[in-house]
Amino acid sequence: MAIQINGLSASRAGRLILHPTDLTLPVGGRIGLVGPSGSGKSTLCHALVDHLLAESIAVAHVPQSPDEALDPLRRLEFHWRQAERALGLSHDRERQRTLLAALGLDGRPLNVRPWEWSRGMQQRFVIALALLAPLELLILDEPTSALDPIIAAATLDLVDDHIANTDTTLLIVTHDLGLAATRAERLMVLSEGRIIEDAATEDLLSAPATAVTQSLVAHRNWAELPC
Amino acid sequence: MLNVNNLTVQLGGREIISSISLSVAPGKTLAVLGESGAGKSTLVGAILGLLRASSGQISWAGKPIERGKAALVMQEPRSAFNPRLPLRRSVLEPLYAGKLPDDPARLERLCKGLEIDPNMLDRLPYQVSIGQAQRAGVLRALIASPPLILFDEPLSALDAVTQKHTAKLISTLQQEEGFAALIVTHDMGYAAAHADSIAVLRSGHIEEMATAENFFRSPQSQYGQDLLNAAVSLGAIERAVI
Amino acid sequence: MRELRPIFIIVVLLVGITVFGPFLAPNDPTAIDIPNRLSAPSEVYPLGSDAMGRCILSRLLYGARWSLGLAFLVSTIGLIVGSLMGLLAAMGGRKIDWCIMRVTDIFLAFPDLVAAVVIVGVLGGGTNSLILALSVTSWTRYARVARGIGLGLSSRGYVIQARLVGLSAFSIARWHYMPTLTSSLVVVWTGMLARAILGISALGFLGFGVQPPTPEWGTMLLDARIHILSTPLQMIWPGMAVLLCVLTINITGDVLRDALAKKEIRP
Repeated sequence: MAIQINGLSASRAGRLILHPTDLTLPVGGRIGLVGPSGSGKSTLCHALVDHLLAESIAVAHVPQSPDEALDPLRRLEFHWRQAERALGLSHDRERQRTLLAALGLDGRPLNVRPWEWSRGMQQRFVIALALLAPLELLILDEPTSALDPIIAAATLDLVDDHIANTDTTLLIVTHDLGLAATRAERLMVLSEGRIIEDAATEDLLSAPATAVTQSLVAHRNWAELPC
Repeated sequence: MLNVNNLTVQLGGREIISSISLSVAPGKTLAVLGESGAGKSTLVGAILGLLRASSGQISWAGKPIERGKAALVMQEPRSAFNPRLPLRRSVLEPLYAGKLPDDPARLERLCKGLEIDPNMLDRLPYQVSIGQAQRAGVLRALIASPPLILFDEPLSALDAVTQKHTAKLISTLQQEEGFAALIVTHDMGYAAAHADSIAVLRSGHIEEMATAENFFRSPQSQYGQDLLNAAVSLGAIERAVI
Repeated sequence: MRELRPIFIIVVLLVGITVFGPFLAPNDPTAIDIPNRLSAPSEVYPLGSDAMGRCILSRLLYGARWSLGLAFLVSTIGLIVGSLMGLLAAMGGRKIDWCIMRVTDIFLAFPDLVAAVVIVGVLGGGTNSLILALSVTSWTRYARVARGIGLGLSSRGYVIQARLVGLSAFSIARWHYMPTLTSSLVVVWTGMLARAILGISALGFLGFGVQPPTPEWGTMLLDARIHILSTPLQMIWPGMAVLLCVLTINITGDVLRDALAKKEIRP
């Protein structure tokens, strides 16, 4: 079982910035989409979301910064109810409680505005909204760049745990191969609007085939620590 | 040698950093690690004289730091340059300001070290990539040979590959030029790869200070340990398999 | 730049009239011709003559020098003084900023014309006090705009960098503040130019401005006022002149603002 997309492409101002691409995303898999800045990662994300929504496949896209997802003037409770309405769900206090608890936000009142929470908590709240209904694909766009490392690591761990026993596929989009390699079992490398490599993480790390991937692998982390 | 002694800075009646002491020797790199809100930028502002210290001393070789003696590399490379002026004009500004003579040979050497095509300097800031702009930012900081350079999250706007490449270029130039570097960052990996000593800053005070070697072998504070674990868990640092 | 072409033509026309008006005038603007007073437009007097038989067209053309020329002078003085004060407020630190802003508050508390009338009233009529009164009431607007933009620039990375390397305040203003300020200030300047034309005419009409027999549009309106029922054309000509100038200058300002905004957005 897999989510299968054929011939996904995108162009801007008459120029093709995402060349026709076939994607196979195995159900329940953890996949990393890696590429240098300007390689077309965000374009692919948006095209993918549009495509899947048109086929009524449940997909959620968590943007880099929670500011993009939360209206600073609206209370969190409002965002929650709005998301429920959008999904055609009725309000369920129990579901809300368990979901927030799963993301480490239990017991926090929602009658506050987003900025009254820390950025890490806001980000987790956005992820909780994405996980309201059973999801086939969760896209995390640069999930660590707006957060401090301890919080970023904790957030990714919580998301991992929460979707571990579901059929949700996780797609982590990032410029950082080191991050993707520790979090995904399969990696796709995007360069200049084309997927140039697609392999299991270990294979890709041990035998990168293209120059772009070799550079990404060589620069995947800063240092090796003895331990 | 940069000496910061019992530095306290208050902003709007709130103590942002309290009683911080640290020092950096010429040619050495101190990484100040900490999360947002820990007071890293305040520390930089105080050392540069942009913010007034409530108490404590900041000195270079026993004397207060004069204008032009400490340079800054900023987090957002593009906004550090006047969008209306070609990069060359901004890069040479420290020389105009200090009424120092133009030194084309030095400029050429630094360009080479930073892998900057000298023709690129005739473009406007938004006509070059962020990575190129940041290298131009380092070039401006270096051009007037200040003994101390502060780096405020210098790599966080760059992508993973560019980050490591830029860090290496800076490090090589430091060996040639011998400036003291104070790097403020939340990126453990950067510190692990390029710092000589580490100061962990948390809500305004220093939680732990150690040589890089000792710190990365075994952090003494729980917070330092947490930061290190997070860096490993996010793939910034790899644990060697023995 | 194509949208700026009509503006360019209008500006050339206005400047041309101000500078060359006297050479185009068919008659001496102060020559009195009592037998032909209040005459209808004719070959000798293309727009008719006033209560003392002076040629209205000639007076309008000569008057442009006063109405437009003085307005130009006054708004330019305001521009220079105001932008310097605004820059000083933005760059000079909190105390200087506070002082300058309280002074502008005082000026802004009075309607421009009322303040101008008071100043002219105290100093006595005449051209010099007119210039002083209108300049004093106009600089605050430039100062406000310059300060607002300047404060925004003060926190920009490149301004901080310039301060760090010890660049002189003059050079910082010259290189990092003025280029950004100029476009906004030019737009304010066109608006203030139109207001100055109105102000000069209004003070002239009230008898505080340029003194007769010097031809000036506001004074011409004042002179024509008592004949408004018998020969209304006399009031209409100078009124039209003021109206057209103010209108075209305001439209110029709008077009200029849009053009500059477009230029700012396009990198």
